Amino acid sequence: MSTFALWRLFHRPGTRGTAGRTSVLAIIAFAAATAIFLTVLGGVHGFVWRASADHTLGCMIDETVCRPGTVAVWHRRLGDMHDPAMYASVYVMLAAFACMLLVVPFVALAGSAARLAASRRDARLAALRLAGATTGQVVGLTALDAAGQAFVGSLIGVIGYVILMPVIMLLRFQNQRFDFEQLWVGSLALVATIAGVTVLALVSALLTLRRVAITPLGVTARTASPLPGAWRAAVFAVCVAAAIVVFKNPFLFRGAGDAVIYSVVFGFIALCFALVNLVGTWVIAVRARARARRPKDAATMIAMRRILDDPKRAWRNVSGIALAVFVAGITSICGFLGSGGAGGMGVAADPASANDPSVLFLRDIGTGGLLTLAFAAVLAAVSSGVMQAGSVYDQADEYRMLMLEGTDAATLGRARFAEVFTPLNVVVVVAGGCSMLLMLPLFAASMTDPATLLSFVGGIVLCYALVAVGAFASNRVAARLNLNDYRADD
Amino acid sequence: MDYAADHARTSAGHGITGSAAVAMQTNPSMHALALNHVGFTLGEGETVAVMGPSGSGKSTLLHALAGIITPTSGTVMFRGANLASMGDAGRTRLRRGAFGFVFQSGQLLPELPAVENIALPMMLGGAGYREATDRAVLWLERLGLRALAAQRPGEMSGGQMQRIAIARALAVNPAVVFADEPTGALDQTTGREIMGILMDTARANGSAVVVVTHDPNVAAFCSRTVRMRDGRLETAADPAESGRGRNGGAR
Repeated sequence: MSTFALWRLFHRPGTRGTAGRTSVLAIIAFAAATAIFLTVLGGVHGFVWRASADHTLGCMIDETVCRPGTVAVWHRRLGDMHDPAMYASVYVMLAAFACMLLVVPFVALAGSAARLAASRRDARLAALRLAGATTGQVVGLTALDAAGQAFVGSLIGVIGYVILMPVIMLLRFQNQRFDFEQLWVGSLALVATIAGVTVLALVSALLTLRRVAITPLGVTARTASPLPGAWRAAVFAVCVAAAIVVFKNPFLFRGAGDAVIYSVVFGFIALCFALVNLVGTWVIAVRARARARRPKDAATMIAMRRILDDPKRAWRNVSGIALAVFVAGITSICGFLGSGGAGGMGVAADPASANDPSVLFLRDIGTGGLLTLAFAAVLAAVSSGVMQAGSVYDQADEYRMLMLEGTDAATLGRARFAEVFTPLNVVVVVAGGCSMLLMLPLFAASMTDPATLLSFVGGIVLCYALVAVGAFASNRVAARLNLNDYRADD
Repeated sequence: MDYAADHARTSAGHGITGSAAVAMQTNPSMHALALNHVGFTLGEGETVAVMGPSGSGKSTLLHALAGIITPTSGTVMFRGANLASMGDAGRTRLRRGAFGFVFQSGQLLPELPAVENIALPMMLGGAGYREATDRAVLWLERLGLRALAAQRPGEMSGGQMQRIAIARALAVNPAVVFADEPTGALDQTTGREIMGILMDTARANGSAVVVVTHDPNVAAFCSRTVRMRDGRLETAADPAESGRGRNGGAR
């Protein structure tokens, strides 16, 4: 029997059950990731459209390939001090930087969706192996599942992108609204995105399955997961310290051009951003170990032990949020530039200069920062909600056992909240603190400004609110599980 | 049919008595009764084995007696209260404080070390961490399992896990311990040992025990055996012939 025939066997109507519900979660995650990716891509396309003489990327990079006659007009616009076109290329660069910040939350969401697609198939996969299916067939079946869900999810995501477009059109950048032509990424990009998401899911699923052994007797992890070592914290601390030293002493790069300095700054921010990922698991394990030493009640004890059982899983639940908080720290400076900063420079105070390109530029940085943060937070919240709901299905047997023993629903709910919010509190402190530390040497004066702090605190509140929505949603999922329906073979 | 009609209820009202029908949906278009007019009485400190073929309703009876499910009609009385009409919160409280559970496998939380698995029901009942773990350690010592205190279920053998499960079930001094195939995953020698520990500790605690089993050797540990078929209790077995096992003489 071919793998595809096997796949079809399991995808007849009415044959799913829990697997069907986790499939829906994975599809939702893929759809959200695709919709946000395309929306961001549309935004970048819009800025490229505005920064290019004939509205194409090729022309923006190399003027010799521009349509005849367009370059002269473009140069005239660049010479006009009242035309926002003079900042157009900087907008593209900042949009690209925002995309860079969104890559990690995006990959985290796509990864969690793929993991969801590949996991929770334990019993079925083992039974298939017992019935004679080869490892290759079982792996192929799961990979097909993941790819299928990614494909369906990305198609829904394309619809989401089209639905979101009118909302993005309401935003004003460079004192003008985006129109359809600017935000439409083109059918080729849409096809490439759908294919890319599908391939990403396929690769992710195969990588996930490499770490487990599917034997006829069950699915087991090949390696036990030891608690993360303290070396992670050391590497993180050294990198952050190095970044602060470099940012504080820009004369180190005095000889280099602007491009090198920008690259160093962006590079260090990206490095620390990536390292938050490395240190997150360790910090969470340390915090959970401390709380598990003397838990104040049963719910805390259960939650902390669950976290310690698999700190990586706990980190994955909140990793997107940690990265969103990091983004909030970086973009909080945009809030300062967009409001108080402009006033501080004495330009926004004059109503006549409200349309001045430099004022518009600063205001747009503020809007862009908030937009980046909102996208990061939504990506993170979807990722966290999907992971939480998935783990409720994963732990259904345990919940059932706890209910039998007389655990009330409130205690279970508290345990689930503690399992999510303990790591969240820890990573908010680490990620937020780290990003503020990095921004301090660069924008020392503005970091204590109310606009900056308000923007930062607002970002964190947004993240908490979105995770809380995810946690409530997963509690609803848990409430729908029939925990009393425990039937042994009698 | 009232199987236990000739059994006197305990004067303290500590026992469980049930007369129930439980409907279970087996097909969207028809209902089959998982328990069909079952009358059952459990005396204080009594040990009863429930036997019968697969699908006969043994586990359903156990779940109805323990307040895990409520019968579609009939009553399940415990200490004067009807579990069948009690709300979920009330039954949860009852399970937490008055009942203990030992199942075939998988009843320990895999993330918790042995000592915390035993302490969990006490903490759910409101005990502090220190108090609960101290009492759990005493139980571990009582069962000769002190060395397992920090180990998690994944690091234990099946027999060790069942011992921990017994300690956990009895740590709250329950009135009744419900055991569903407690030796089902164990070899015969270990199974016998586990049943011995369960019965001895339950007796020392004054707890009644209801054991669901396929195994006559396990049933022999109980003072009484009832048999089920197609959701009904079969005719009363004579305690003299069914229940006077290893444990019977002592009761």
